[in-house]
Amino acid sequence: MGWWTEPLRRWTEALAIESVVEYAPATSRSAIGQWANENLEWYIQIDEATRVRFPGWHPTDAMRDALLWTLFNSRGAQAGLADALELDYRALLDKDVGELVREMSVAAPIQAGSCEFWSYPGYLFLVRRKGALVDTDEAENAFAQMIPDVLRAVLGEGWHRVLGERQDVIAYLPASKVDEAVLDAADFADAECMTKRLESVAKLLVSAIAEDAYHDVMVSVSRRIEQPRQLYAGLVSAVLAARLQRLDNVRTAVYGDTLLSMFSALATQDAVDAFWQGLGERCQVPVDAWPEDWLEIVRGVISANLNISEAARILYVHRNTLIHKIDRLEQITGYDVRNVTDAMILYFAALLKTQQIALN
Amino acid sequence: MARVHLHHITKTYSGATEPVVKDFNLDIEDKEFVVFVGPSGCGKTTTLRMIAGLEDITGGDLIIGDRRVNDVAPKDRDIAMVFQNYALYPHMSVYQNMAFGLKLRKVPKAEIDKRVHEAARILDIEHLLDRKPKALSGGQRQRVALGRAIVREPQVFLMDEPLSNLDAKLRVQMRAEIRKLHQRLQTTMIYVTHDQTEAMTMGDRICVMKDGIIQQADTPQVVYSQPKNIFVAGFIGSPAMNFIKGDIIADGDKLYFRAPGISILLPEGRYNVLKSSGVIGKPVILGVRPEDLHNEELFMSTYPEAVVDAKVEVVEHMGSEVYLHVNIGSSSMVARVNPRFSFHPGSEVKLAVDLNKIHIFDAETEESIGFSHAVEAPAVTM
Ligand SMILES: Nc1ncnc2c1ncn2[C@@H]1O[C@H](COP(=O)(O)OP(=O)(O)OP(=O)(O)O)[C@@H](O)[C@H]1O
Ligand SMILES: [Mg+2]
Repeated sequence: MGWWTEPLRRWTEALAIESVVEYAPATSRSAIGQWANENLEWYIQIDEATRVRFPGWHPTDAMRDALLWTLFNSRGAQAGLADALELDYRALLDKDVGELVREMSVAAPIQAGSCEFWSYPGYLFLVRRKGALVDTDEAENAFAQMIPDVLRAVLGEGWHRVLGERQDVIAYLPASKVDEAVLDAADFADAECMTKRLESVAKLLVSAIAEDAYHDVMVSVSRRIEQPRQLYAGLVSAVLAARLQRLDNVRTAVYGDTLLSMFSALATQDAVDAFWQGLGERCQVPVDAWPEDWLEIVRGVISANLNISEAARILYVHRNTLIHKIDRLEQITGYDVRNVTDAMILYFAALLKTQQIALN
Repeated sequence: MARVHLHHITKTYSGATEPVVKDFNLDIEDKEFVVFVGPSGCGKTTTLRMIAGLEDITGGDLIIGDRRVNDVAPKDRDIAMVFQNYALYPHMSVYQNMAFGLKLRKVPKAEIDKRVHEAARILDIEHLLDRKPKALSGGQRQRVALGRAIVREPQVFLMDEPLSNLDAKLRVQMRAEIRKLHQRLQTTMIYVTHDQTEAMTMGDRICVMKDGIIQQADTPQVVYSQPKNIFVAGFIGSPAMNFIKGDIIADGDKLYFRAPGISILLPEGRYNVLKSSGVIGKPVILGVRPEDLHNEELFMSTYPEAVVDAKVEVVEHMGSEVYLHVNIGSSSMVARVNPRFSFHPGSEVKLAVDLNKIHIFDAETEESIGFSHAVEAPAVTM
């Protein structure tokens, strides 16, 4: 695969023509970035040793011009990508949730480089090590060496890069390759969309790195990156997901699934105060005096889609015990987690609470 | 030698104020199979991850083999882990999956080959070595995941709920396989589960945890028959132990347990312990396992002063046995009875409490007051 692969694919698909990437013998090389015609077939010289042949295609001058222009301009868009990512990543690490959200709408194209493995659309995976426990040089090296190996094993031969002082790793996974990396791809109905698959890949990365490279990592996944100029926003979204993930205390996060926690992280102190105050209205018991396990109950019931038997299984309590706990929670709080709207309010409260704890 | 000793281990996550594992003391001996069990959030995974080195240890000493390993990198601890979300690489064959960890560690090819085949033989997956994980059943994948750990020939296996992604039937089957595996490999294994049945059927010893504290660590039989406190009593066993709040009342030279609608003459063998623990006249909680409530005539006549009147609420047919949900006085209880009798909701029945097997807990401390009977344990049927 090369930098030309993706634009070429798009062109040939759009025009319903054939293209063959081939070795250019020294005898028939023309100038790089130029069209040539040989035996009534058109060629583009891609680099020294590579050319693309278009068998049986007879384009107009304008068509040839347009194709060549997009092809070589998309190469420009990828120049120096890795270095640019590294620079941007460092700058992003210091930003808070609000700044990151604003940053996402900034059109800051990364000057992307000649990376063989970029093909759009795709996703960035950000792998960050949790507090290194034995910080010897040797351990650092072991990390740097092994994590990319595991990454390759999971994501396939793709683009990745070790970033920053903490040796975080960022990797690109083309959307077309996601299913290959998901063990149970067939288990997900199409409607269950990409997020679940990405989550599954992220989980696999976490356990594979723990089992094989003996490191505890958190993995966050960017939004969908359609084209090179969205790379920067993609990088920001992966960093944002990572930031929220730390607040929510989870090991994997996919950008699209972090919307609620993003919202609660962005809420102003006034909004948060008003929320807590309103929450107490139904029964005058302040949140701090709620049963110790309310967070667990709410999370359990929500993750079971309000199915109590399933929630009991997840929480490892007897169904009757859980019902009793839920009843008690309702008496104390005035909210019944079996009811959808109440559950949403409690869920949001749980999110806020978790983030509060994380920030302290 | 691969003993694992945890001495006064504590863990406080950074940013948190409260420790999630508190003064954890447990000596796991070489070749032992120990199961950590407890409700969600009790610190099982945290403890296991500290042993693995994935989580640093806030306080205490962790000894694996003969060294203190608190500051030893995970890769040098000679352990292998299997998690709930086990790692199988989708586009590698089973062979490559099992070899991968060794390749990373630069183990010579011939050695890798030998170990992979050996592990595959043990797990009976030799015929699958060329397949990709996607073409495997859940149970086969699970075996490959175990194989990936086995080839490392670790001194200690750490498993965190490895079976929880499997369906119920497969889970039961894999439990037995892991037990067998342990016998074959003769290695120390530490196994985490929230499922008390799994713990009871798998562990040489089980370590029941709650809120980061070990509640009891002993053989399954002892934990079942002599639970140290109400938590352990209620957590282990299914259906759960029945609890009745009441008082110990002295009447002449006899001691009774009394609660609304219930009066049970306590066996004399327990008087000494009860008296010396000073609970006479004080509130206690009586614990009775469902199988220790009997409806057979023989029991009624043997323990006439332990017979209670019960009203049947629900009859749950389980095949080889029947769970009777009954009201006794103001308490609701479950009795596990023989299905050859027939029961109807709403009817009155008499049940005898097996006095040799009752548990009495201090209502305040929730600790057991003496053990109810000698170590001879009932066959655990679950
Ligand atoms: N990385 C972390 N940062 C802060 N707190 C954590 C972290 N991981 C776990 N905890 C908290 O530590 C406590 C123990 O968690 P742990 O995962 O060890 O429980 P567990 O017994 O394995 O539970 P489960 O059965 O749900 O897996 C919980 O209250 C949990 O919220
Ligand atoms: Mg756990």
